[in-house]
Amino acid sequence: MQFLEMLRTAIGALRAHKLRTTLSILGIVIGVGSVVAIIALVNGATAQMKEQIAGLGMRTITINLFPQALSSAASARALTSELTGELLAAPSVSQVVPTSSTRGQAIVNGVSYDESLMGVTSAYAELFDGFSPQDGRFIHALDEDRAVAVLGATVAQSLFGTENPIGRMLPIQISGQKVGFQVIGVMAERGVVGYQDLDNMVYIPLSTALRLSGSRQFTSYVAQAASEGAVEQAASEIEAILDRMIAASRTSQGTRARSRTPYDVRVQKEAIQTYEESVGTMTLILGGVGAISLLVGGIGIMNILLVSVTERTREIGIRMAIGARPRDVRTQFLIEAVLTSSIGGVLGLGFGWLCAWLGSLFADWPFVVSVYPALLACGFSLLIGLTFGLYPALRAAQLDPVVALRYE
Amino acid sequence: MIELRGVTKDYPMGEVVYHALRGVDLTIGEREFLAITGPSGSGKSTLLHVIGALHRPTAGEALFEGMDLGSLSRDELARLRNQKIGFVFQQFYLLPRATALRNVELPMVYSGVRPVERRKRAAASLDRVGLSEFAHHRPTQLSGGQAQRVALARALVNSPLLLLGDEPTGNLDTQTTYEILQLFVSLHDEGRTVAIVTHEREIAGQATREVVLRDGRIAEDGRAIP
Repeated sequence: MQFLEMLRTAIGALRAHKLRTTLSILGIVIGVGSVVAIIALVNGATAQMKEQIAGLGMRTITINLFPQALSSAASARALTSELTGELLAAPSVSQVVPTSSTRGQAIVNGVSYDESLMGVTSAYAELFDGFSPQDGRFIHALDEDRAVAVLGATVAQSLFGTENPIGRMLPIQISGQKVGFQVIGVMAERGVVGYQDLDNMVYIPLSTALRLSGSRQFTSYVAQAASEGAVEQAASEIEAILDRMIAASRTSQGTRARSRTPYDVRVQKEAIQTYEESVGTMTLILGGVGAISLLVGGIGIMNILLVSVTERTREIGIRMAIGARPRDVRTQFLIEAVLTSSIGGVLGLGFGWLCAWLGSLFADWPFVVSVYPALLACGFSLLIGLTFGLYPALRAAQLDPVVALRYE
Repeated sequence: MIELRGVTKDYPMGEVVYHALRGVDLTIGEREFLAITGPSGSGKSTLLHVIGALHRPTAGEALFEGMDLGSLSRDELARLRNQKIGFVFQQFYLLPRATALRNVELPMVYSGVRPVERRKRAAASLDRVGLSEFAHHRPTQLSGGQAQRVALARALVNSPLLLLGDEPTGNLDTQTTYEILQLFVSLHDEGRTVAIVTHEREIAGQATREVVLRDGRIAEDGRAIP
């Protein structure tokens, strides 16, 4: 029997039970669709995250110091200009900016807003391309210890709306004391870089931040390596300096060694790796769920085909009586299964991409279409059709013609 | 053409085994018109199924043109049914969703005839049984006599050597029984070997030879009395 004939017969059989066929196809659509959507969404999120991390610059090294893990002597030295100078003197390091972040309540027209405050030095704005004031100016070396603030674009919008905040007095409550800050600048929009939303931040001079919040706080440095190739080298130089500092403070104080490493030096490459690892695990879990639904879809096909074989037992008998070979009957049912699962696979691909596209619109991610997983999903749906169609098809082929003819 | 030697056929019926044929010796020559008669349960249909390569015998030898049916594979039996045997059943056994023409085409689908040729031959076969006008009707739109003619057209379409009927007029009224019988007679006159299982005296009377079965054995074998 020619293939086209079989295809024609299969289409006829599938069309004879439209609802049943539609439901079978739907099972595969959901399975393939969820796998495709998950992969596309994860790819989109990864692309977005990579862009953000890369936006920090591949030369960037972030150094986080954990005050709770440092001895008080080391902690006292942690953000000194002396350490900054030491780090800056490292041969592979070209720029070091100490930062200190805390939270405070900005009060505008009697309403208080919880904001992130970032104590920085003037060099901070230079770390990121395109991070420059839209109005007014950024923090200057002459601003040290003064109560001035530069607002991120989002903060300016939420606190002052369309009003120009430059020159306004902004009372901020930090660690229980209320300080009036003069707004000297508003930054242009820059978006999320690394793990921080640069637009949703109030920038104040580092010295002011340290004075107001006390020294035991989360502190960090942002450093830049001299070149992208020197990033690893710069990171190990920084670690060496920090180790020395911690060892020195220990001997001078005689405090017991602390088990936890009190700092964390991170290069962007590592951040991307860490992200990809965690996302990889998520992808596996979600993909697994998708694969299970695909499997359920396959079981659906098998179920319907078994019903179909039983229902069409007499038809099978007739076909065999007039000369259909067992393998013709087998192939006919296999084609029905593969046709169902393939239609489901193609529709599922479209459905999955649609979901991913909608999701990426909603989450403001790039919509990433990758061909390889799409082909894989379609191929897999074909395989599902073959696998789950095989048993019903074999059952049909093994029927005895006379028994099948007499089946009521 | 057909030679059966000591053919038996057993069916497992749950725990017990039902012996449908208990040793049948039968030779059917070319151009014979054989009527197989006998009471219900005597093994008539089973005998016809063995002759028609639908069943392999449990024991004994069944030769079709010298080929041992017992030793052929299921695929080879299918090929034989397709090419050399035309079968007509009491219940017509047409595909309900296919048109008359499509039903007649079906055996050629399995023998790999090209679609254009297939349609031509199917139309000619329908014409032969006088049903050209009903080519695009579905079985449910046909009367019993018309459905049986479609089944006959289907049985003839691959020009088989042997035409078999399993109570072909069992579901038909007297008038259509007569018409179908006339078709069988004229097909026999054209040179085909015909074997029919029947209860009906008139049909047995048209045959050149009548075999009476009783309890899975041949009880009588001889010329039918006209």
